Amino acid sequence: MIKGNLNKIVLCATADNLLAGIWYAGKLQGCQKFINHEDGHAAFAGFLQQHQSTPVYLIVDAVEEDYRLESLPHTSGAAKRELITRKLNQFYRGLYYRTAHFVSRDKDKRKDDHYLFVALNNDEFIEDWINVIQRVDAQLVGIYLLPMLSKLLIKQFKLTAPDILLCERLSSGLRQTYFYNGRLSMSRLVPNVPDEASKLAYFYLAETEKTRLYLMSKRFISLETRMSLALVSADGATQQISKAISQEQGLDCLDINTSEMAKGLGLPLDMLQDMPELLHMQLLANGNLVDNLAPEKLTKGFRFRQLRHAIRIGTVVAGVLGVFASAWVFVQGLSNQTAYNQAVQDTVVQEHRYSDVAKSYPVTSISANDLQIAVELDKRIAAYPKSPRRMMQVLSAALEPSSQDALNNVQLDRLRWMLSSDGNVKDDDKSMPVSASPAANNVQANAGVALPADATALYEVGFVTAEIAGFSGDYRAALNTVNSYAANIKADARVAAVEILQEPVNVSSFADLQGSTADEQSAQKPPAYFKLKVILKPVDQLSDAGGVK
Amino acid sequence: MNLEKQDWQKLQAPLLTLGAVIVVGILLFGFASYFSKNQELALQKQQNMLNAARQRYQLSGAEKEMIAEYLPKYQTLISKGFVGEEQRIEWVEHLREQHKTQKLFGIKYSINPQEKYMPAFAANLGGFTLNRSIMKLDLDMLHEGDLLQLTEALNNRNAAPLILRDCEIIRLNTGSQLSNQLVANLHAQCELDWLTLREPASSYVTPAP
Repeated sequence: MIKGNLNKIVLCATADNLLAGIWYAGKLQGCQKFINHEDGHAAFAGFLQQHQSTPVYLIVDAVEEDYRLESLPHTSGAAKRELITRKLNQFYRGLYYRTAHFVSRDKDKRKDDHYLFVALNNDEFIEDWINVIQRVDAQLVGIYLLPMLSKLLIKQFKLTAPDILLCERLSSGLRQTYFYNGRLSMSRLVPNVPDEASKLAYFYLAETEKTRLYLMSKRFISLETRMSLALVSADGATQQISKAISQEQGLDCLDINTSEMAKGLGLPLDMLQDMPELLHMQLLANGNLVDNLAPEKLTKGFRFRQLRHAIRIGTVVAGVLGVFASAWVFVQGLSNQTAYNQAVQDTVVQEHRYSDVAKSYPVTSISANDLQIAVELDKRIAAYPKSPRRMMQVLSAALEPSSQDALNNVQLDRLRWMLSSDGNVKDDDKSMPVSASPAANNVQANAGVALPADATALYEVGFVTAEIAGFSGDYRAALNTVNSYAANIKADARVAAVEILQEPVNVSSFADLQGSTADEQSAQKPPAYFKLKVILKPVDQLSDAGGVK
Repeated sequence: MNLEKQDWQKLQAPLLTLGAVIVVGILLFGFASYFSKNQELALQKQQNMLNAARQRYQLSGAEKEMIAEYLPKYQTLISKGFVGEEQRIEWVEHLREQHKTQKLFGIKYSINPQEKYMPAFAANLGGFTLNRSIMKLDLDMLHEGDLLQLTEALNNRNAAPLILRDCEIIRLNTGSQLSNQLVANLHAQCELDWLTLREPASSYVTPAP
């Protein structure tokens, strides 16, 4: 499979014959010439059958070829393909071998794309070869025009002049290819090159002049354009011609000897001198692909094989990856298993050691930690208040100060004592007469007491409902009494917070206030109830301070 | 490249092979991952057990001291009823005794069925389960001291711990002075939590010497 990929067959078809070369890893292994005749076709079929899995590249060196430079609006994707196909149909309707070669893109205006449309006007001379290729089911990669490969020579020889006419002496004749700024613009093949060396210089000059006139007619160049000639030969045969043209015509003429390049590429010099096309074939064999003229139908076999090949490679890669990845993970698992077995043994050893030590322990079915937990929990519970004694002491002490005589008339009617972690706990006192509107009675809904966030602390919360005994209707005195009582409670260090939930009278502007000025003389005095909420500090937090609301 | 029916037929075998290789690869990798993951988890668990065993062995001296310190206290808790079953008969008898000795008016009591209890102050209970029975006391009093004596006496006794959670004391003759006669002046309603611990089902056993 790998060998198949490294092997390449490169063909070069001319009007008379077909040159076939076999390359392995870029090295020419041998070449064979087939005459464009039935015998040649049969021999070629036999040749291909010997190398059936080898990809085949076909170079065409023909007289009947056409080049057109055209500007197209810049497009991409499907639109680009559609536009190019339309142009190809417009220029080369009915021609089978054709392609569009992207040249450049404008840098200003519409930024149009420039394409060189290329086609083989007469493909009869390659039809038989193509038929043979199809018949033996060879893998045709593509069909390429020889001048398009000549473009690679310009790069190889580093020719930088803006207008270059490359003149190559090939088996089929003299090929003159015009390059503008290194880009292929036009090429022509002149068959029937004279054999006499004395006539060659004139032949070159005459054909160059013809080409020059043609280029001017096509407006590729102008009359003033100074064109550089590059004469290519493998044996230095064009050296004299080059000199003669330079001296007599005053043209820039450069002689290029390809022998050094051939040596570098591993091409036998004698073969190159006989078959100069080998240089182009070598460039193609080295992987320098140019635009393909063959329609998809001809190259489908190769591409289909490539697809199948890719699937096979994918299968192998997936298999190898799967096996290696699984093996790697599995080995890790085995390593963990070994470590696990070791850990089990170590645990048993540690447990044995512990068992030996534990034989001297006091007998108990409970672990040491659980024993501690149970004892500590009992201690914690025991630390909580056992009765409302402290709350009663605080409330009682606040009534005692001798300077506050008025507090003697405060009568406690109800005490709700709770042990809670929530400072905002509510009292559901139903004995207390409550007005319809909370605002009317100045009730503060037991809210707003902030206690330290300790979920384990339980606070003593007391709701005290009391009244002013012997109330005579003096609301001011009653309010003062309640405030004094609250202040006295607050002054106690054991108290965290005091809140007056309800006052004897609601003096708020937002509440109703009803009564009679004859209350003081009335035998039936209205009651003056008030309600307080008192929160005591836990015994262990007696240093903290609170506020009176 | 446009593929036709015959092309697809030619590709059928390579594609099926590719699919089969991918499926087998995934299954193989899945099995290997499952095996590796299981072994890793087992190893992690075993490492934790090993570390615990090592730590237990290293701390065995301290553990022995702890057992020696707390075991007698724990046995006291069992005897007073904090650990184990509630001793309701004993508690009722004790309440009656308090009624007599402190010459109280009648005390109505009720004890709700036991339920599991998870208070914030006992977040870590180790292997124990904490249970609570809510008890309600309803009594008339001559004065507030009766309540203090009763609740403190119930707690002072060497009995299961109680938490007095809620008490409401109401003056019976609102608006008048307390009577000097032997009549109830106050009424109290209280709620208490009777807490008991239940030992772990599979208790840790220390080998006998």
